[in-house]
Amino acid sequence: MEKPKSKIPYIAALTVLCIGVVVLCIYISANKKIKPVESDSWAMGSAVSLKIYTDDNDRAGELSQSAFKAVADTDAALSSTIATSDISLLNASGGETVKISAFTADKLSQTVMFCKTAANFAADGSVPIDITVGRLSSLWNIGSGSEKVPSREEIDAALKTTDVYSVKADSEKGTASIKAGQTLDLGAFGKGIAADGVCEALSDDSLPAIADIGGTILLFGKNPNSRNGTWSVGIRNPFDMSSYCMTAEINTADSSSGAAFVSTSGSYEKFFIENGVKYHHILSTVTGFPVETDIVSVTVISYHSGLEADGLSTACFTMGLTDSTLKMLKSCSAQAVFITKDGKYYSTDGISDKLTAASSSFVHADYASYSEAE
Amino acid sequence: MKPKYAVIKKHSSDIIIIAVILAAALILSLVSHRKSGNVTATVLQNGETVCTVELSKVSEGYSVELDGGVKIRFIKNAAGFIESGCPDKTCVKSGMLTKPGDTAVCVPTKTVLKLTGKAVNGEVDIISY
Repeated sequence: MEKPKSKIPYIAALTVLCIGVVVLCIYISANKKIKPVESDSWAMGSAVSLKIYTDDNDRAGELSQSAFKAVADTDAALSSTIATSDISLLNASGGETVKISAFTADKLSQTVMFCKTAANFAADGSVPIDITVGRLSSLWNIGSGSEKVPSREEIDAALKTTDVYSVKADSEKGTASIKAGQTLDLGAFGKGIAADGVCEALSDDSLPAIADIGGTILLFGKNPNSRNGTWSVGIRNPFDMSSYCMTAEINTADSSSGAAFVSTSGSYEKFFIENGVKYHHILSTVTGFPVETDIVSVTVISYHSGLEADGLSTACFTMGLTDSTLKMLKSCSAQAVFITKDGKYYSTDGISDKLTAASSSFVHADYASYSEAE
Repeated sequence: MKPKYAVIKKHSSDIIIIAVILAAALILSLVSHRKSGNVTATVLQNGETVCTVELSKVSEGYSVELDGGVKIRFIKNAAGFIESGCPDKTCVKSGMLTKPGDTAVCVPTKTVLKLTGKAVNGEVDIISY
């Protein structure tokens, strides 16, 4: 009788230990992060990288191949520096209607529509983003290494050809035309359109993934390594490009497609200096010169498309921290973070509480306070 | 009372063994966690990996020369472009990278330097630029 009774403390101790082991196992497995399969490529004049969150290498390999193909196909169709692209064909058309792929016609009509919509929001009647700036952008040729400020005559001649309203695209017939002398440059939209292609390729599977197309980011699905599935996206520090200055927690559950697109436009990366004056690459279709603004970078989060994210970031940079910009962002249900030369950052309501500054030198300021001060 | 005491004593060695295993498991898991904090630098040119360097293991700094006049320097816990034949030198201006997620790109020479690994805190999944 004595023996079984006396076993109780031993069993109790063993039970406690077992529970301990189970708890430890759960703790370890909960903290174990899925290491994504990473792949890299170079396309559209930029680094393209893909992270697919799976341990199935074959599946990830197939997906990344079709994703990189989507980027290459976008470039082959829309690049104005590839002589055989549909866009180059249009640029050489002399105003004639040209037969192009249904894909190009579709993207062309979408970008034209975007430019027109943005123009409707711009209070001063200007066109904040315009795909017909080809002549102006090749005149400045910023990033080539042999830049110089063009003459007023050259700029005026180039500006005469910018008119987004003269671009006609018919995606059903697969035809398009531009005004004679006009040159298209879809550079402001290219990476975003490629991100849309990648998103489509990834939709063949349900694996969570991140695509980085030269800084335009696609977040696909839920982050398996975070408790609530959000992704943490860094915004590059415009004053110290080695790192990021801010992180945004982005949840793709806020989107109907389960994807989010992040695009940044800034004056800090592509520029040249002449006689002590800095000339960046975002050109104004009003002055023909780089847009004059206190903003150094705008990051836009779109839950619809990469095309929209890219288009909005450029349009926001050009339009600045105005009520019109806010209205435009609202109409797209998009969020934005603006960083100004004085190290302040302004953000839309939907993202403010999801932003964390990585350094205390960045001060959050109210968007409304800026537009009132203007 | 005596037999009861004897039973516990008889099994106490088992309990000690289990406790030791538990402690070992805990220490092991903590060590493996710390290990994953290591930062790896990857250099790519034309989308192809040129080299991968575990930055915590670099004891003496060294540089690697690549096409396009690119020179990348590796030191303990940091890496960066120090030279490039490109016109704008955006890559060199990016300085020395230290945090996982940090990336420097040289567009004209199609060279990418990126840091990966799990940071203890402040980790981002990707950077937009």
